[in-house]
Amino acid sequence: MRRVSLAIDNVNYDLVVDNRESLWETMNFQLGLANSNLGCDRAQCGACTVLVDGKAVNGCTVLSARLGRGQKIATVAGLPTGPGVAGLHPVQRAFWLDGGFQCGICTRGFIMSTVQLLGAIPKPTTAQIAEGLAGNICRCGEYAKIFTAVNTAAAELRGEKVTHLASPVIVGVAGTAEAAPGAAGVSKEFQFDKPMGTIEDYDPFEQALKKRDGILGVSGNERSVTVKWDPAKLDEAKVRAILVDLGHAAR
Amino acid sequence: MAQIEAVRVVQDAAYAASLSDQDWYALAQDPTWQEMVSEQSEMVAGVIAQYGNKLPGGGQNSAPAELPVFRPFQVIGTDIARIQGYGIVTNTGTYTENLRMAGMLFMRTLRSRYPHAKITSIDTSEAEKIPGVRKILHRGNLPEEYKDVFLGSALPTRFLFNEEVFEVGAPIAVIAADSEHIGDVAIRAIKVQYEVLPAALDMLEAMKSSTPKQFTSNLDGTTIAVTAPLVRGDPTSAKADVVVDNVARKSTEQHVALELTNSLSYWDGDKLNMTYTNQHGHGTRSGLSQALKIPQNKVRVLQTGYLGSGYGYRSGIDLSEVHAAILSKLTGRPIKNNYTRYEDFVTRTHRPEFRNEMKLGVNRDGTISFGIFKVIANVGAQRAGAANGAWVNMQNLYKIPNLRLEAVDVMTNSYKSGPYRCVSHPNGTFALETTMDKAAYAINMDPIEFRLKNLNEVGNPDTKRPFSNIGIRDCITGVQTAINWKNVWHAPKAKQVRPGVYHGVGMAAHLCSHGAGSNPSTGQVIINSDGSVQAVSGTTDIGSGQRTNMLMIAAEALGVPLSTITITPYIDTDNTTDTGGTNGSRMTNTGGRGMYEAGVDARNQVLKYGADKFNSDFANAKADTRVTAADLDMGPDGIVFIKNDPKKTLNLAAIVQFKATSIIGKSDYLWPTTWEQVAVAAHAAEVEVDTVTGTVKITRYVAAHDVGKAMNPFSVRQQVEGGVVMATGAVLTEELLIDKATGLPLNPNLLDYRPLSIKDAPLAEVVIVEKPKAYGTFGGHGLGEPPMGPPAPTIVNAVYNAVGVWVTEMPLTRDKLLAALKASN
Repeated sequence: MRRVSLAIDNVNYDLVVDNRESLWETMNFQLGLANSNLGCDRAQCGACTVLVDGKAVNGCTVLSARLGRGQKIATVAGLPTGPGVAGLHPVQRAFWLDGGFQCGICTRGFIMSTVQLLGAIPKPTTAQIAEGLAGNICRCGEYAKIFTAVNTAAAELRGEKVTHLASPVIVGVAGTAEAAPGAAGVSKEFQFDKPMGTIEDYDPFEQALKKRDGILGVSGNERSVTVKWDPAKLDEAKVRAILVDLGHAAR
Repeated sequence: MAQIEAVRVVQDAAYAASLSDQDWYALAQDPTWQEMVSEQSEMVAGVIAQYGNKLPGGGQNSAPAELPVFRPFQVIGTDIARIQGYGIVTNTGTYTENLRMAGMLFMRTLRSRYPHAKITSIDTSEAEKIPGVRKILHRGNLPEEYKDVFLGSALPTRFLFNEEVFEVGAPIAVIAADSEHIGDVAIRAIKVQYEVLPAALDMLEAMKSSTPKQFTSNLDGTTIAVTAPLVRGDPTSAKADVVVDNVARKSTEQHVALELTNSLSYWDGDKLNMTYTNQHGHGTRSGLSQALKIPQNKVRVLQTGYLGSGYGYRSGIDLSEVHAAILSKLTGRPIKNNYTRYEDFVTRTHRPEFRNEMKLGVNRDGTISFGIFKVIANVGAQRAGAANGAWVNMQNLYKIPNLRLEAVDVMTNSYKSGPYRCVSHPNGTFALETTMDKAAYAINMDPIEFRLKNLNEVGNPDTKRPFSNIGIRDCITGVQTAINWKNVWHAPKAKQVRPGVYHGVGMAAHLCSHGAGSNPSTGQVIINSDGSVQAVSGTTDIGSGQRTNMLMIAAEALGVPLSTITITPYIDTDNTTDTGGTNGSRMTNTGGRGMYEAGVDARNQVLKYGADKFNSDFANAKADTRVTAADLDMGPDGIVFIKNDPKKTLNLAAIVQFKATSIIGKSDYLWPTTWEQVAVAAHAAEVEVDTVTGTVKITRYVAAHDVGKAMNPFSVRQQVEGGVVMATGAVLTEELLIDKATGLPLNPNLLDYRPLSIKDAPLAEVVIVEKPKAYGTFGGHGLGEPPMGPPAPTIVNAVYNAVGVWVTEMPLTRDKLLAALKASN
């Protein structure tokens, strides 16, 4: 047994831990904190990813007895800056509203890996995202929307305005409906007639599209784009015409 | 309630004939049977055809020929994010693995290291002395009342602790200790004597009469069942211009749900409370009730609402969950049972190894003359069935006038089979669709044109049950367009894109029996006195967003904005009614039907009590006007009004307060048996095959699915995206291996059994086809499983188009592809 003082999300916990106890076990069972999840037992899936001094590690194979020397442990619990949807960290909000999970067991780990990635590379390419998240398995297979979520979060962290693919259900006072972020407008996914060469070709196209009047939200990649528009100003035919005008007609 | 062995009912005609009327009623309530009905309907089809009138709830409701006309959709068809989303991305969502309780002990299990052995002695004395070990349970000290308890169907039989064990990983002793680390030390201190017996480890060897039997049986070796062949027309005499032979084989796969199976059990007096990673709360309750010999109302099953999925292997309990409940009872302490990844891989169930022997006779004009298809499945160390589940597309997808289908299930001392996302249909689709492509190329016909020419769009040719608005043609033409097939398809090995690297394109069509509704469909909608609404449903959410969909369906059926209605993420069997398990892709149509009927019932009551309230107000004002419910309507804002005097309005709060008790809408829906309810899809992919390294890279992937009506298009796309990735893992990397000499599992960990990472995953472009079904909730048909079917043949067919060789053995690893290329040169 060993005494340690663990600094988790800027709070110190004085504990006695079994020498064999992993950080995950300590957080989950001793402290009752659901700050990360377990997917295996030997650092093969990344579900338990947390940051220790800014570096992503597998909490299932980091021994608590070896921490407690001032290392700063960061988990999803420390990311929100306020209550509700608006108070979430952009990475958290994007994973939720852009569908970067299905069952969600891998998500706490993916979020921390993404936070480390975007801290190091604010505008990652598709290949850099894949490399940065290669240590996190999503068995539900939702990698397509993980890319979307990471790109959207990265854009928001760079100060750009973003919209999301889906709306959260926000229950208001009986009989009133609160506007949810990204809720307005009609949304549709368009496949390009001719896919672009790389994701880098996509970025300036997206910037140009966002500037058009009536366009509320854009996300996508070199093969397809999901556009959200204000039905008061545009309809599907007009949106298609804009895509043609920007040089990337859709089927 | 006496235990009726569901699998034996299907495989043993004498056993089925011996059942009394009471037995059939009990069987219909058995969650094992219900899971077979929704996940493995081909297995139960014969029994239902013969004894269906004895099963309550079947055929008592005739289906409408058409869908009703719905009000314009306000909620259905919109993109809504998960209700559990906030909890998932923060630490406020509690998964079962996050649970802990005061006084909790941890359970660990000592398991057999031999695939077939007798346990001759067990000595726990040293282990019991270890500090922190609180109780050890094994066959020798198991309380008397549990000694005859077994799970599933008999022969071979899975008791709580077998004297004769049939698999590596069979439980021998369970330990309750202060920590898992102490439990691990105690496992090593238990002394077990084994008498090792010969093991059947190879499926084809095990079928032979020379293989020693391991249970009483009239069949050869360890063969479990030979399904009566399905014969249509005269397949052995039918003539064809070209006959194509194809042997297609798949290796054992596993679900690998990322939340390890785990549970927390405690007793409250004589009532068991268990939170467990399960896909069917009431099914789990029923299983525990039966195993522990206590009534269902003495078992409470909880789901936290956050679940690391299941993909089909957690609809019910296994022996471990019963052990945990008994340990908790004997120690008087809560028991946490966390499976290790090894235990989860080895002791839970798997999609079995299959071998398919296919013979297809086609004519040069593109018509199919006959099909003779045999499916062999390795169901592992238990009585189970899997082979004839692969028949459904062979029977229904194309017009095959002469057909013979055979199926054999074989027991081996190895990985037990069980439903895994789409069950036996990915195998059926793999076998048939690679055969179809072989035939198309043999007669020099475009593989898509060949399929379109032979599509069956009417119904089941043998039972004559009709399809409802089947969208298979739209799915095939959908991917044909999306991938620009007419411009990218070429002759095999015709397009080298870089030295040694060839481009190919391939496609596959899919039909399976998943996605329809099945009994029971229940649910309640409660309107409170302040006008706020609660949807109450026993539906499990396994990550696909089922409970978000339940909320949307209830909102649409009642006709109120989404912001005024809530549903819990969690379930407690004490205060919900059974609406079946989240398996068979059925929940949107089943739990959803429960929500729909309850919402409609609540809406009818709103209008009825609204009329009463209007009339009461008119009377108080001494006006003569009177209205009935038919004179009223409710707008999408939840405000009730008189149709010919719309300024007269009431809100829900006013109506419920007038009634003075909550309005409760409820559902008691039973499913009709009129329709052949099938899911259909088509996928297409472009690949680059490197003939030097043997690697296959997917450069483009498109998938079209007919979902009847997309409740939540956002989550529909997710199901297809995720299913394609999951199934592609089985094509490129995933196979569970055993050492043929010792029977030991070789790779039950996430590095050596490799689910795809973000670096390898194909990113599917999704085409949603909507052909509303007469039987569907809002016309819908579920799709959690269908995306698993097409990827294997799509990729194999694309590889053939690229390099001109057929590799019909999964996974398509580099060594197999290189060997095939070498052999063809």
